[in-house]
Amino acid sequence: MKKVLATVLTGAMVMAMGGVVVQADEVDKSESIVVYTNNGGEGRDQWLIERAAEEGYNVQVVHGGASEITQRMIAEKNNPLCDVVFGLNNIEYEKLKANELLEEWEPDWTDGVDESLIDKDGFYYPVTTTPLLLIGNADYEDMPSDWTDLVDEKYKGLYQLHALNGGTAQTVYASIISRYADPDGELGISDEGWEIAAAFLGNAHNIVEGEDSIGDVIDGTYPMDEHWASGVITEQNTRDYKFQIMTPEVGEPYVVESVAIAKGTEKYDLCVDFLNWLGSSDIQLEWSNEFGTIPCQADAMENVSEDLKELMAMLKPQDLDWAFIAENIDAWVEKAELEFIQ
Amino acid sequence: MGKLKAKIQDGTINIPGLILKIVLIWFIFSFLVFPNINLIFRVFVKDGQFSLEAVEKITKSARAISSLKNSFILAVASIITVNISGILIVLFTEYFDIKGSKILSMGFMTTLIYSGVVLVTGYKFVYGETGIVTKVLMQFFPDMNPQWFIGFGAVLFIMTFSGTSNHMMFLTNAIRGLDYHTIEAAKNMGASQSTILFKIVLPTMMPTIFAITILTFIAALSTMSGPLIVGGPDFQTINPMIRTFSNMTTSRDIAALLAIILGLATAILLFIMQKIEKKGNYISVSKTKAKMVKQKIQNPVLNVIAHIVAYVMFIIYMLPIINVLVFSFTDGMTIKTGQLRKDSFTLENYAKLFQSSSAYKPYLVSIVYSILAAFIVAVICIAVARIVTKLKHKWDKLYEPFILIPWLLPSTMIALGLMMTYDEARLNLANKILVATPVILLVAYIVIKIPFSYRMTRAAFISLDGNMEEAAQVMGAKPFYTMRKVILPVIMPVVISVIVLNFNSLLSEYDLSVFLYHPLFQPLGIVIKMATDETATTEAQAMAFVYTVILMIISTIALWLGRYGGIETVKKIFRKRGKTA
Repeated sequence: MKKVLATVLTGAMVMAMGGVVVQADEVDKSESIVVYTNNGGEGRDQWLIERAAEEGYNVQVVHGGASEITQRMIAEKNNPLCDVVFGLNNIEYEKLKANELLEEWEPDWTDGVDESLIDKDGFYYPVTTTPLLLIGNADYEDMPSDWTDLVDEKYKGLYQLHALNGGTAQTVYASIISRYADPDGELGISDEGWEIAAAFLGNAHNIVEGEDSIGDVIDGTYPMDEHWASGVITEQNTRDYKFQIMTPEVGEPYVVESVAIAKGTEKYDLCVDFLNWLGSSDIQLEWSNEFGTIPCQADAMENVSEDLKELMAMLKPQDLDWAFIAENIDAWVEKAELEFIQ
Repeated sequence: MGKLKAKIQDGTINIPGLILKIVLIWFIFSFLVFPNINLIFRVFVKDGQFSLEAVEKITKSARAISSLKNSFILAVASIITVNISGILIVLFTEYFDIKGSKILSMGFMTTLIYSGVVLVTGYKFVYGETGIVTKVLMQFFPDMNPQWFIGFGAVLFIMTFSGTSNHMMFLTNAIRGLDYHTIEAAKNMGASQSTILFKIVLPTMMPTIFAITILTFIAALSTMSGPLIVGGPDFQTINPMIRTFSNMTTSRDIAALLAIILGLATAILLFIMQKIEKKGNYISVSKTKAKMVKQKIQNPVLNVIAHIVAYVMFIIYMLPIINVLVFSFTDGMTIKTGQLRKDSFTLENYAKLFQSSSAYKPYLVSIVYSILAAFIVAVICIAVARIVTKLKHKWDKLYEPFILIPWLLPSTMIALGLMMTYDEARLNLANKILVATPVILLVAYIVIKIPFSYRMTRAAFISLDGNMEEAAQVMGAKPFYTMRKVILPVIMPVVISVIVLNFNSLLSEYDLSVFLYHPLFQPLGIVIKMATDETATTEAQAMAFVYTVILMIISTIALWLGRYGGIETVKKIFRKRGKTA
């Protein structure tokens, strides 16, 4: 026992010292790139590391939820570890921008992407996009035509929403209430907007971990569900089913995932070079074929699967004021969590 | 000066002891007090002014109030039910002579090797709409609601049978440490079996039961998965809300306030327990302890009933874990729907686990971190518990409230406190920046495990017999020697239990790790979370079960090494090899 303890304690000290050493020589190893991303699951991190290595890049991936990555970067302000951000949606990028954690840059592939998706200040550039949809059981006859229709009593308990601490639910919620912007209203939203928010969130069935929300749509338990477009295609294929899809006149909220360079990186040029490669249409097409994402690059989009093309043809992005949303989303979510969610 | 020298020489001032105290004070200040106070200060100060807006927000929120209420109802109810089931399983396996107690014991141990979402899902597989138990019940009561396993009852049921890990670890130790002479003496004086149980056995286990009661209370207050998955709309608790708010910069004051409310409740319970503890005398008086002998229940009716209860409980414990094992071999759709089909079974999940060459690395990282943290925590807690229970100075008592600080805050906020404090050079750390080094995660792991470990170690010290130590000292043993040769051997079972439990629970830690981990050393919790994210595909979510099974295997090995003489067995094997070589 004594010996074990002694060994372990020595180990602890070696490790503690090692920590300092590692930190020091990372700064020296100019060729390694630390990528912060929320796109690490299902082997994506491994794919990225290996694919980048083929091109000679030495990539390390830090994975976490989108909001956790942002928190981490804010907390690491004085000792930044991150070189490149990959993934994250506009809400998170606007927060990073507000905290002055991003570096301005410009990739060489902007010609291929929809200009309206590009950050006007030149900090982050889109790579993939995910429209958020309301899907319904194929035989459900009362499909609403917009999210705001769901506040009607007749839909009570018939539609499912994800937990409001996740990106999907937050974006849909923001896309609804930001339509009711009112500078004099509480948290910038008019009373009408809050009434709608209360009914929309209060009438929903909240999906919990371990629940089969898609299965519940198919068997009619809860005939409607909030879901992301790429997931809809995957689910349709695995379950051999075709959902109804709501297409509001204002369009759908598009979660756009982008790439950016972190402030404080000592390898700015290398980062630009890496992101030029990562965001290029060839790599984005490979990424899409591997993981079913929807690329922003027009060239890549032409070559994706037929299902995906067909779905995307039905949809159009809703016009959203991301800076306004990013500034207020936390307060809106707080209010919803305290007052509206049942 | 001369006085000081004399004091040092006659041992009133003990230099190594003094150094130890200074190191402890430095550690407690640097990692338990300063970061957390710093964080609390930052979250309650808005625009340069101290703000208690959060109080108003919480009192206005019907949801927050009812969730808080539910958390307290659950915590109080589970103190009762978990103690009943926990004490029963320990009596069945260690005290009474029940046939097949080894197998029973293995069943009751299962709560030590899996937890969280997977455990609750396991219960849902058994009692939910498509579960075996529901199907059987439907045969007898065709009119019953197949979704009966929902709400307070369901949550409490799961708590009752999954919250007994601490009983299995620590109460078992307490019973094994009983002095059989006292039982024999009582018998000779004509005491009945129930008198012996209620007047001798249970009272000597009281310090342990008090400690476990506090842990149960805290676990129930902060439970996540149970209420989320089977609580239904009518029984949601407060912790999911705390977690959401602690991840949002502007809402952290609410999270902190809610957590502090829970912390205060814990503190009150702690205080009450300590008072009761002081009133009683729980030290067993014998100096030559005799080994426990299992008691056969003499009343034949009670004996049969005890056997039936023991085996019913065994089944309740085993059904969910068997389901988890079976479902880990099925495809994602089967896990989602909870329905086994003929073509459900696959080995693909397991194949996926090790498809990349570096898949083993997170396991290694987590194992190293967890071992280091578990051992360092044990050392710190032994030192503090020793100082606090011996009380040379009245100030020594003060270690205790400070060392329990991490109980006051959710782990997300402990992580943020460390990050926000040590992201700049601080004098107390010799101007080293901790953020973005591998050390910070180790520190965080140590910090969150300290209160629990301290509470259990302290209970062991309290039931320690002071006379043995005195005897050693009278015979001229130095304090350190006494510690090593007299005290440590007695409290070792508890210490090892603490180490094993801490090791197992840190293996898949996520809340702290996500903020603090170093990109070169990715721990297992991150990998698991990645695979089972909200947006992950159905197939990926099946991986949660596979990871759980792998974790079960590692945890079982840890348990075996720590508790079942595994280390001795390994030593023996090596000795034999050494001889033949």
